[in-house]
Amino acid sequence: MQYKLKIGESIANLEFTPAEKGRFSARVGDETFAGQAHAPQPHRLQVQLDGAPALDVYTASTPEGLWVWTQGRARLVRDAEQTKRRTSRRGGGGAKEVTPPTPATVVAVTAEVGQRVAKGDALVVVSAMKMEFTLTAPYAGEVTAVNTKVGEKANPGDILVEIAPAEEQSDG
Amino acid sequence: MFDKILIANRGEIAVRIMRTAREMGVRTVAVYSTVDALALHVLTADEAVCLGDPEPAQSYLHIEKIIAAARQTGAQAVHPGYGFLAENPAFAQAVVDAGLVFIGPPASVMAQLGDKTQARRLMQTGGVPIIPGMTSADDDPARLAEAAEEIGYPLLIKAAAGGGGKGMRVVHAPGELAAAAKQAASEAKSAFGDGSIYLEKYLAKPRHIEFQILADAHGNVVHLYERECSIQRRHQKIIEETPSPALNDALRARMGEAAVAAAKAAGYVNAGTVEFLLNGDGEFYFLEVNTRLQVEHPITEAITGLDLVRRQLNIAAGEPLPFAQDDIPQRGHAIECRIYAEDPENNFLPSPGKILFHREPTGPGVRLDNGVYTGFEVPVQYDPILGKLVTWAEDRPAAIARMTRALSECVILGVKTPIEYMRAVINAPAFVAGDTYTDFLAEHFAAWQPDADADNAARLAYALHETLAPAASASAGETRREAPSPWQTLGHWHLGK
Repeated sequence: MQYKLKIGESIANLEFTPAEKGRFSARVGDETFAGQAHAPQPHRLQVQLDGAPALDVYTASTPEGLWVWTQGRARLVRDAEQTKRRTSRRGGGGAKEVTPPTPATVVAVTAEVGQRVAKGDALVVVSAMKMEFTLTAPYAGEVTAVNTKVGEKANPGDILVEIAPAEEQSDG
Repeated sequence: MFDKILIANRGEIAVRIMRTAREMGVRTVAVYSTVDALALHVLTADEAVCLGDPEPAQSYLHIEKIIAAARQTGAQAVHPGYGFLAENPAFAQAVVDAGLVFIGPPASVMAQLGDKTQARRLMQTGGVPIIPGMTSADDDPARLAEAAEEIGYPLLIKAAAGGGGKGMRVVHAPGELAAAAKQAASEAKSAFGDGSIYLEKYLAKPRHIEFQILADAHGNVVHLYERECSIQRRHQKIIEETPSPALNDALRARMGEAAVAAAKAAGYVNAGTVEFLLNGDGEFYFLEVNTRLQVEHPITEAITGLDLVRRQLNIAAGEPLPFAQDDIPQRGHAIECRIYAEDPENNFLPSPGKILFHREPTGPGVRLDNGVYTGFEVPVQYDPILGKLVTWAEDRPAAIARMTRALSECVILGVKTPIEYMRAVINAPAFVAGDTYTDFLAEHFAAWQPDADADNAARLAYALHETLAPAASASAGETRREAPSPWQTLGHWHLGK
C-alpha cells in the first residue's frame, strides 16, 4: 500500500506491506520498519518493532487527518492528496485573506462596506482564550463585504472581511 | 466548618477545590456559563447554577449573579479560585456585605496590595527589601528623568495597577525615557483604566522565587517554603519547582522571614504568595503579593504534605493554624508543568477545540489536576489551561525523570499542547543544571521545533491504524447509536417510584 502523508509542511511517501498475524514491513524515505502490531483497545495501538522497545501509540481520527501520539509526541498526520484537494477547492492562499489564526470570538469590527483601506489597516479584532489578535487588510482596496459582527465566533478559513484590490499603482 | 461553599470559578481549579471540600464533608456549588454546561467542574459539584452567556463579564466576572447563586443555594462561603474575581476587592467586599464568608484575605488588604506603589511603600515600612526605584506613581517627564538619574540605567517602567507585563518597558538610555513612558502610560490606561506609572531598577537575568504563606485571623503567620517559577513565556509561568536549585538553607531562611514580614506588614489573612526577584549575587527584592491560591500551589502541597485548600477553609472558618513554623516539613522535590491548549511551534497561539482523546497519567508520585475529559470542547472564551501535571520524587533528578515519564503518559489529542516542548525544556542541560532565570525560554527555546525524527513513526502509525483500527473504533462508539440504550427506551419510567 502506498501513502503520501503530510505532517506540518513535510510530505513523505510511505510504502506499507501488511503480513499475517499483525506483522508488517514499511519504508519511508531511507528508513525501514518491520515488526508486529495490534489494537488492544479503541484509540490504542501497540507496535513491536523488531529489535526495539515496544511503542505505545494512541490515535484519534478527524476529518482533517489522524492524530497520532507516541512517546509524548502528538502529530496530526494528513493524507497529502486529500489536503491538496481541500485547499484547491477553497481557492487556496490563506495569507491574503482576513481570517483568524485560531478559532476565536469577534470583539470589534472597524471595517465598513465601501471603506477604502490601506494594507495593514486594522479591520477586525478577535479574541481567543484571553489573547487578542488584530486582523489587518492584507492589501489595499475597497471593503466589499463584512461577514461578521461583534460576539460571533470565527474559525480559520472564515473570510470575515472581503476586499476588492485597488489598482496596482496604489501599492506604490 | 461550613456546610456548603460556592466556587466562583471554572476548570481545573474549581474541580481541585471541590475535591478537598468533599473530603471535608463540605458540599459544593458550581457556577457556569452556557458553554460550560458540560464542563468538568459542573459535573463534579453537588449542585450547579448557570450564570448566563459565555462572555466573562456576563458570567464568571458578574458579581451580582454569583452572589445571587450563593444565596439561592444556601452556600455560606465563596472560594474565588485564581483569575476571574479572585483578586478583585469589590467582589471580596460584596461577598462579606451579603453576609457570606470570602475564602481569602480581607478586601482592604487585597486593595492595598493590588496597587503596586502602595504595596512597595508598605513593604519598605515593614523592612522588606524592595527593588530600588520610585514608591509613588508620577507622569511628569522632568520628575521621571530625575528619578531615573538616581536609579540608574537600564531601568523598568511599570504600571501601578499593572500585571501580566502590560504597561511595562525596559529603558536603556536617558534619550528613550520620555517616549517609552508615554507609551507605557497609554498601554496601562487601556489595559487597566489607569495610566499611572513608576520606575524601578532593571534586574538582569533574575530568578522568580516566591514564598507560600499562611496567616490565620489570630495573628499567626508561617511560610511553606519557596517555589521557583523562572520558566515563563509572555511573563506567564509554565514550569515551577520546589525547592529552588538557587537557595541554600541560609538564604531560604532569610527570604522566608522576609515573606512572613511582608504578610504581617500587610495585615494578611488566609493563603497568599509573596513574590521576589533574586539576582545572581543572592540579593532578593519584593515583587508583589498574590492574594489568592496560586496555580502552582500543588508543588508546595507535595513537599510539605499540607492541603492548602483545607487550610484556606479552616482559616476562613476562624480556626487558628494548628502548627508553628518549625513543625512544617520540607521533603523531596516537586515540579509542575502547566498543560495549556496552545501551540509552542507557533508562538503559543491558543488552540481551542474538542479533546478527541485523553488519557491521564498516573503512577507513583504523579498528580494531575485536570479540568477536561475526552469529548469536552475547550471553549474559546477563557484561559487556555487544561490541567496541571505535578510530580514529586525524593530529589530533583528523580522528579525530572518522573515528570518526563508522566508527560510521555499524558495523552491529549485534538488540541495542541506544549507537552513535547516541556519535555524538551526539563531535559535541557541548562535546566538540569538548575541554571534557570526568567528569560530562560526566550534564550534557549525561541526557535524550538518538534523532533522531526518522530514523524516517520507517526506516519507508520497512520498506516497501522488504517489496517488495524476499524474493528476497534467500531466497537468503541461509532455504531453505538444503532443499538438504543435503556436511557432511550425507558421513556418516562422512574427508578424507585
